[in-house]
Amino acid sequence: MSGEAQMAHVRPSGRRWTLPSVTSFADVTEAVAAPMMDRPAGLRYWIAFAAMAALTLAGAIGIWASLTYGPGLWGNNSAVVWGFPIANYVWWIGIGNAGTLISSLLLLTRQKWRASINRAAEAMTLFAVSMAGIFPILHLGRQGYFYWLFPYPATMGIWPQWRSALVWDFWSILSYLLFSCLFFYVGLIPDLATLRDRRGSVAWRRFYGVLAMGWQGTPLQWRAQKRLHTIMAVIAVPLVCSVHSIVGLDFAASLMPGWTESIFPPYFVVGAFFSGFAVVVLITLVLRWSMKLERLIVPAHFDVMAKVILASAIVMGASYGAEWFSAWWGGGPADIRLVAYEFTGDYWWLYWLMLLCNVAAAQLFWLPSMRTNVWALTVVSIAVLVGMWLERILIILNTLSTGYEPSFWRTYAPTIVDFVILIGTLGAFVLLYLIFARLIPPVSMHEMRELVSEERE
Amino acid sequence: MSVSPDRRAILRMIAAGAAASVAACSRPKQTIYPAVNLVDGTAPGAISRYATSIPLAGYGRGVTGLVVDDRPIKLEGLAAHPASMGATDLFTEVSILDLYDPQRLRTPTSPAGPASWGAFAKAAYERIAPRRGDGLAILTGRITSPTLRARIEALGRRYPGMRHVRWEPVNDDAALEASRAAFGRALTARPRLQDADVILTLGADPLGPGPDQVAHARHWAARRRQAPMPRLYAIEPSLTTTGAMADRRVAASPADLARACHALAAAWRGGDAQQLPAPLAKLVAQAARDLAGAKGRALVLAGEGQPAEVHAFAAWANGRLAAPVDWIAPVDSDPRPHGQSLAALSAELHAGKVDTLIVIGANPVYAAPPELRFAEAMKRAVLSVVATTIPNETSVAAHWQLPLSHALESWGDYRAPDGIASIAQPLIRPLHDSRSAIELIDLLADPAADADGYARVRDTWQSLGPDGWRQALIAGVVPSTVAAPVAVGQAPLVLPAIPSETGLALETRVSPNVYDGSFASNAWAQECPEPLTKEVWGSSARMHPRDMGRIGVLDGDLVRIARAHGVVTLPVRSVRGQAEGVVTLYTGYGRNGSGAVADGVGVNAWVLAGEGPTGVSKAGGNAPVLTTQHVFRLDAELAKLYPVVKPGEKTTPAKSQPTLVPPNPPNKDAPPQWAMAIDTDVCIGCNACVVSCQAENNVPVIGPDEIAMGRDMHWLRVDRYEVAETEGAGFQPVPCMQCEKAPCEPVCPVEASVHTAEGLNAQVYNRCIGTRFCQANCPYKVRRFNFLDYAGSSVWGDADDASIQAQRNPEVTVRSRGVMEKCTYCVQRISAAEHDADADAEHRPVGAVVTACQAACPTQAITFGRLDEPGPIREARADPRHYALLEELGTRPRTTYLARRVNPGDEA
Repeated sequence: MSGEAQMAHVRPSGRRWTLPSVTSFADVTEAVAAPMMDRPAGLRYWIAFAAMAALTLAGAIGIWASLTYGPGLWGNNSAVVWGFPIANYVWWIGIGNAGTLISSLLLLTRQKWRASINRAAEAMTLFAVSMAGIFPILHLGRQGYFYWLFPYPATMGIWPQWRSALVWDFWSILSYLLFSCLFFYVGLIPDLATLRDRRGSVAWRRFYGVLAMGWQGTPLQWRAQKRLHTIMAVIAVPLVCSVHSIVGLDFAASLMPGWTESIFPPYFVVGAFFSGFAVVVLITLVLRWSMKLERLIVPAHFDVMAKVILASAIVMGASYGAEWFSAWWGGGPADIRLVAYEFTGDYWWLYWLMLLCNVAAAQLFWLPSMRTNVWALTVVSIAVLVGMWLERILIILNTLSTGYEPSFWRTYAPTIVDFVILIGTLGAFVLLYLIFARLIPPVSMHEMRELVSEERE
Repeated sequence: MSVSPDRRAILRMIAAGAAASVAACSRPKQTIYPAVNLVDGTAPGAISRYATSIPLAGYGRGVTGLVVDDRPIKLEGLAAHPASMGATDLFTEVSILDLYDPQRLRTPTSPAGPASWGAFAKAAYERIAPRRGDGLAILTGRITSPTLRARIEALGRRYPGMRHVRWEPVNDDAALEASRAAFGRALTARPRLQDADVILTLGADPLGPGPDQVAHARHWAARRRQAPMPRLYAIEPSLTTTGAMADRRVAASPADLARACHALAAAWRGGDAQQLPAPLAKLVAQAARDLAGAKGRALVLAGEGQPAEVHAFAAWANGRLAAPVDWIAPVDSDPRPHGQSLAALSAELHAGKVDTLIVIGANPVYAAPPELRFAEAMKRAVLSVVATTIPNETSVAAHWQLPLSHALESWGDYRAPDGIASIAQPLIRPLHDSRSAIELIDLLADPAADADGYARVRDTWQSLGPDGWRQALIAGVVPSTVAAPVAVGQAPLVLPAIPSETGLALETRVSPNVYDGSFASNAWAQECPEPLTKEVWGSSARMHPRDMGRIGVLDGDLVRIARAHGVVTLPVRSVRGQAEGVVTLYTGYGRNGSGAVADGVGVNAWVLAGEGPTGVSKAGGNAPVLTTQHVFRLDAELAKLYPVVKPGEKTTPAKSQPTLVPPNPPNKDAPPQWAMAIDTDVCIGCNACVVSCQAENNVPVIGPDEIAMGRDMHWLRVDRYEVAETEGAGFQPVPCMQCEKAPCEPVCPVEASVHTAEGLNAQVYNRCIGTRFCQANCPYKVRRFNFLDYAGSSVWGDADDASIQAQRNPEVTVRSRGVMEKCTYCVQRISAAEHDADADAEHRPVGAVVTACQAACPTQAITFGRLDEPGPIREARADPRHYALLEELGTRPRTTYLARRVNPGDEA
């Protein structure tokens, strides 16, 4: 591998994305693998594990009850027929988007800094999309028949109805989940081989050996892996955009005021990156601290991500503005009524809170020092997650609580089961992440080595 | 371990089985005859129709019972019967559920526990016969039945010491008192609304709940359809159905109402006019002018709850106006006033003069005025017996509870409010070990008597002869029995005394859902939204906002209403159209001891009966009654949802919008194409359609807890809006619009929401997976979702609810949990008509298809039919008042409306 040829692919930048103490490939491997393989999980890990397992169990009980007794356990009513499950779904899938985006879009644009965080982000995608995938099925009235969305060769010759955005949704989630798994795995193979070849217990090395599928690091294998990874990245970018566009179409392809908006697909995509980056920031902060990865994840990483969040917040604000403007400009009485209801209706304080979280909070990142401040990053990221969840639920509630027929205006109040299921998926997400962090290198070692080699030359 | 047969083995078995069955199947050797022409109604699963009658407050109302496989599943109107005229009201519709009510008494119970009729007969006979009836009193509701009256009279001859008391909590004592004063004898006024050009109501609600509602509504609507449009003025303490439909309406306290009578008399006769509030003065002036100008076709109606003086004033006014009123001898021939009769009985019980009490179909412990202390009086009886279908306050306090047969289980006869007699034939054998009132009376005379109501009724109508009897049963009425009008002179002028205006006045009105309490245990009645407030499972006190402000309460806050003999605490609600100074309560709630449905719902307004001031104070706390509609006023552009026009004025159609949705159905010319038109000008919001739909389409009851979650299941809702022009209200029934470009269809991922070739927007229940996108995208919000297993759950508490299933319509799927359901235009009725279609040319349905809501409608506001041929639907669509709901969305609804009309204000 010639350094000259490699340099041609790196965008010149004065920045360094690793600390100078990392000097060799072995340093990278040890920095990543040692905390995972050699050090036992501490008490704090197991406390977190137990807490998250408990939340997951609670969520599972909530889901079991919902499957047994029906959607009547939730707050949904005859007018507001959608509620938490749809909002949770849109929120989780939005979070999931950022992982693939970081990996693929930044790979294609040769943003080398992605190497330190892409594995964590991809894993996050996988888990978030898994959480998201629960809800479209759970949300159904007759969950056992969810497969009717699939064009299987039914004896009655009945097919799904292709005009429905929910069918598009089904395919977009399915393809996105499958794709994310493959993309994650393709990028993981060289690292699995590293773990196989590293000293350690035989059982674990055998485990990684099977997963590494005979990777030997030959130039031919490297070339094939790189090519496949890049091609998948090329596919991933439109896929990431399409997934959330289609989620946006779930609402936009309708007749209801506040939903029939052509801005929804791009606005949903931006919102997805927004919340996804917030989660990546949180995860990176935790990993960096808990697994002692300060040498590989540096403040500059947070600086970049904070800028992305700030930019997204501005776009979100503009999108809200566009919504209000188009209601006023279009002059549809139902749309104007809806905007007025958003600000002053039954859920007014949630709406104002959402604006605070989604638009105002991230403005803090105009200050460079805030972009690398752990607390600012944490608070803003959590605010963004809360704000984005509120946005999703409010899209549903505002429109369905004030439709065209005032005689059927009804408000919505969630039940304990709604909250238990939402919190259960949060618990399950973190639980999966905890397992992941002890099982799979949370930082891509082979890409870090590449980065280090470039930076050291 | 079982060994599975291989493929060859299975084929061999099939072959062997087929051969065996072929060998086994052959005709019998003797000649057998297939059923070529079945006697009508005998085919399994076929619906047969029987005319019969069921009572409300003792008066008979003709019904057509739809019977499938020997179980009645639905009651429809009976065209030949003047109290039905082919339509129904809520009480008729819900009666079918009472038949199958799980809470019904199933067997007689003695003080010692379950017993038999024989044991009861013996116990009663031993007590009554030796004393020749001394100390025995039989308390019943109103009796119009010639047979029952004859049997009671016969019993009285056998036991001379016995007395019979009849008492209805909702009665006509005031009206009869007025007629006695005016004409020297008790007479019942029968207003002919069909002949009235101008009507003034003084607290009267002819279109409201009661035995006459259907007939009055039909006649009123018939006149309203003719030009020139009649005028309706209303002066009333609180908003009523009739007031809602008025051209001009003023809410008036009892004092103002009395003053209005004075002012009206002064306007016609000269003299001092009473000082009236400006709106009332204006209305009185207009009404006085219009009434006088329409002599012979003008009518003044006094409300049932008004004092006798107001009735007397109305009698005078009607005489002066030569009003279209027939006076008839009371159909209920008992001359004693209800209130006095019960008071006398109670006094005798207290005094020990009556020690044996038999109550049949009345509930005095619940509804008697509290000053009578009836419960205590009854405790003094040595033997108390209550016969009732569903346990009630009186029956649980009695020694013996006897299961009374439902009207659909027993032979009987009734007279309608206009006197016409009808014979009630049972449509089903008694479900439980019950007897009818006639059979119970027989048992008192002779403990060995068979339960033979048929023979008793047949005896009464011996004069009809076999053919006449058969004809009377088929037709549902006995010919030539209508009461003949009596000629009366001019009633003298009576000016009502003006009540003092200190404090609030209490108005108790009959509930449109549970009547006097008789229907409180009926789950359909409880869950049906009350017409004016849309309250379900309970009822608030209604007050004027200023009165509420004075005691510092807001909507839903609890108030304490105290009178001399009773106190209740209940939530309050401000309703537009309520008179200042009046607090209004519905009767029939606050039951106790009548099963899981009725108990604890609302408060008992009967305990507030009696004289004396009414104290209303803040009770602290907030517990609003559930409602299904929160917005009644349509501001600004929303007014288009319920257009109100002047007579002759046109509605403005909306601009049609471009659409991407393909035309539905593709071949719109292929007959038949179904459509519905609803005339909001005659819709009185009575809810007969809502419950009729519920009965026809197996719509489940979900109970107050689910309603509190904001869920409901009625396929048809009646939206109620305020009409600013009149201070009244308007009603708009909203079933599925069956949009040609239905927003629900393209969003369903599994194609459960599809369009039929006949223009129906069909819902395929067994394909539905419950994404609810259809309802989310429905601008009319007419779809209903089974959030839980509503069809399988029970609101009847611990009672075994298996009997409810017998009511279900076998032609309509019972929906499972997780399925979306909606109005189908009664597709099962369409299919039935098409099933009978001529095999030849065009697959034309036989006969007119009548939807359940249409059949029920007393004012015939709902028209259903075909769009592809000339007929009522095309006529409605050509009407200048025609409009489609949310037309601007481009959904092209098949259900469309005719606008409400209000006479313009030509000021006097």
